[in-house]
Amino acid sequence: MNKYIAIIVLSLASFIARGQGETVIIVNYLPAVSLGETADFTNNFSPRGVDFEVNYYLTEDFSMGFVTSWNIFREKISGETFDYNDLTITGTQFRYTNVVPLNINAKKYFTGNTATPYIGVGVGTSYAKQSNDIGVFTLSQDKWLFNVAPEVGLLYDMSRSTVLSFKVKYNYSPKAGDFPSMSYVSFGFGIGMK
Amino acid sequence: MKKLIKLFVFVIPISFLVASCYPGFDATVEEMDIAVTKYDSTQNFTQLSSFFLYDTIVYIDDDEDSEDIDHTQEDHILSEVRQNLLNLGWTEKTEADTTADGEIDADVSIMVSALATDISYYYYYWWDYWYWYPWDYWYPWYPGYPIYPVYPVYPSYGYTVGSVLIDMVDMNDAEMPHNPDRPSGKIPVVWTGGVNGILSGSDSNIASRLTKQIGQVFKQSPYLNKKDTKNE
Repeated sequence: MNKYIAIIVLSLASFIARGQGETVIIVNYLPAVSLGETADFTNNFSPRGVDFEVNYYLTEDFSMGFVTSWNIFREKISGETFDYNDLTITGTQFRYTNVVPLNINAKKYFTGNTATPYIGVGVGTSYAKQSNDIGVFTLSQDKWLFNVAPEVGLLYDMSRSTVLSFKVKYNYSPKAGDFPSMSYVSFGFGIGMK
Repeated sequence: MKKLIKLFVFVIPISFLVASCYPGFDATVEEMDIAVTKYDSTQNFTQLSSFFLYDTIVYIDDDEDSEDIDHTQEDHILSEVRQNLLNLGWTEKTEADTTADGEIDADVSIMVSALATDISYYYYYWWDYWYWYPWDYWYPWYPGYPIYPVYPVYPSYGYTVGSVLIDMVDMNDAEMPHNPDRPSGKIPVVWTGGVNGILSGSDSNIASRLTKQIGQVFKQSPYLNKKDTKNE
């Protein structure tokens, strides 16, 4: 985990030190659909998500930066029996998955007039927590995972200092020990400032 | 500085928005009910086929932190436990089956208790069992022990006030303490069923919830089914 944080901090520091080029800060509303093992635990389309990104343009059509997001998935499962350690438990389960990736982002832009499509990828770490509330019990586990997040999107210039953002992003963190892999597709739309 | 202002303008309202949207389900009373079972995986349940049901519910309380719980469901609880065991093919033994040496000849003893206080994990240890287990009932010749507010080997998550706990003790493998004043012996609890928190509160559906949850603890314990065994 410390290794990931060091990489992120050093990368950001180098951008700040340059002090040149354009920086765009974007906040996206980020609903998402859980997939794979994430959906096995919490299978739903979640309207609860947000991300915040900082993109520093190294050239006119290439940026690097930092992105963090927060997605929450939940699912209610009634009357299912499951084993936990040496117990067998039956009841209504209220399951939650929280995922918070912290990634370094690289984006390639295909510059147009007012609309600028792009492709990008984020690499870094992700904090994931799964909890299961059943009766008065809460069974939970959390883990820091490696994370990769390719995305495609579009920036639309509203003015000289404001852009609209649209994107589709796939987040994936591989399984680590007993902790399942995290996998989901998010759909972002938001606003940015230059 | 301008960028920092931008950052705070964006991040603070969004953070509040997401935090305020953090989801919680509105659970009904029934949705908070759970049935929990635990059993001794080394136990051969096919060797056990008769039970004796202690006809009184033991209320486990604590002088400092006890709450009122519903005592009106005793007969219903005992009836449900008895009926579920009979439905699974067990044979009931009663006081009428007392042997010449004063023992009741059943393979297992069923003890039902209810919590008037929360208990947390491993707070009480198995040897405390000796203090409240009704040996005088099981062995009429044995000196009676007072019933103490203690409970053995429950899982690390704790049970809350109002829980009903059903214990099955293998009497074929139980060993009586040699010295009643310093109990030491063996109480093999081979199966436990717990229905959490159901006797607290004032819900009008307690009886039907008890029926459902007590039935569930037996349903999720297929190794207790004697009918399948007899059919083999």
